[in-house]
Amino acid sequence: MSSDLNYTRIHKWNDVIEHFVLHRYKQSLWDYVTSLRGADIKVDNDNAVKALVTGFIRGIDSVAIVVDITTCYSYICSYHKQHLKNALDELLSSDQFSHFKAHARLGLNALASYYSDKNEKKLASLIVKMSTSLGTYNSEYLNALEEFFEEVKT
Amino acid sequence: MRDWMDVVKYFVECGCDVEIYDFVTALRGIDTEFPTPFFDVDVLKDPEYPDIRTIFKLLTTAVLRGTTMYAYGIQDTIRLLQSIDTEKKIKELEDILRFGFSLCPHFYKHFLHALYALESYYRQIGESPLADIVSKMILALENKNLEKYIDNLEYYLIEWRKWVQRQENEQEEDENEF
Repeated sequence: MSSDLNYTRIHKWNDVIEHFVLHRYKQSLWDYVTSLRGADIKVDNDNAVKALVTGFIRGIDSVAIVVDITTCYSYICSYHKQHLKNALDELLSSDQFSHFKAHARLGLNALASYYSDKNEKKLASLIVKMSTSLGTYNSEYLNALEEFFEEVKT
Repeated sequence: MRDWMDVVKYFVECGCDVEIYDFVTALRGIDTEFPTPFFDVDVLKDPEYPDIRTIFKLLTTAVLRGTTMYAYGIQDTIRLLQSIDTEKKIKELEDILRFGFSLCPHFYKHFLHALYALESYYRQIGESPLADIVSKMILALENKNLEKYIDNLEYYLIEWRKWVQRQENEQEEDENEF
């Protein structure tokens, strides 16, 4: 399903870390790495949050992590947008997810700065949109996510 | 390591992706809120430690972070353990750890993997004594022996401080020679 994506334009989490380490962007590195773990809260539907948020932040994985950006893309391709929006609305509005959500937003901002450094301004601005809308305007988050995948299609 | 960035940098230079992943995914503190009225503990009477979740964080994630300026770090763990002056308080710390790990097995798994990565880091840089203590912390956690975990954590903090002091002395000597 994900074979129609141009992988060379999509981040790998280890490349992002390496980039921040090489440039000594300690704050960005901190923001990014502390968003790489999925939420600790176990509830129904939490797989949607893991795929759509954490999976996206991780990007392409090279060490056999179960959920990465390809999982995220499968969700976008397989489910109706309203269904995904409902899942995000339900989970991310809960106080339980507030710590995770704050870290995810910062992680997305750090990721946007990575894309910006790579001169992928359009992708960077989509990720900033995702960061600002996550948890409050989830349909905008999903729109930006879809647009990201459209942009990186071969 | 002085702080978490030393470990990440080292693993990046070695291309140890699995270790990087294992280490960094435990750097964020536990997400789960602890039910506040659940514990009425002496430790919380110290205004330094506002809630159970913070104490749990100091006993776990903060150790991996090393010295940090912008978030809870190992310096706070040292202060916490120095303030523990009664048997009752030690038992409370054990209870908090036990409760946190049972509340959040997802975090427990990540934390354990991060300790394995930390042990591997110390071994690779030739700091076997620190690696051995981390290894004992892992064993204690796996055996759910939280008393032992705290004992070894205290020992780790002592040895870690000595190591940092040694590093600083060596650095100073190098600068003087120069």
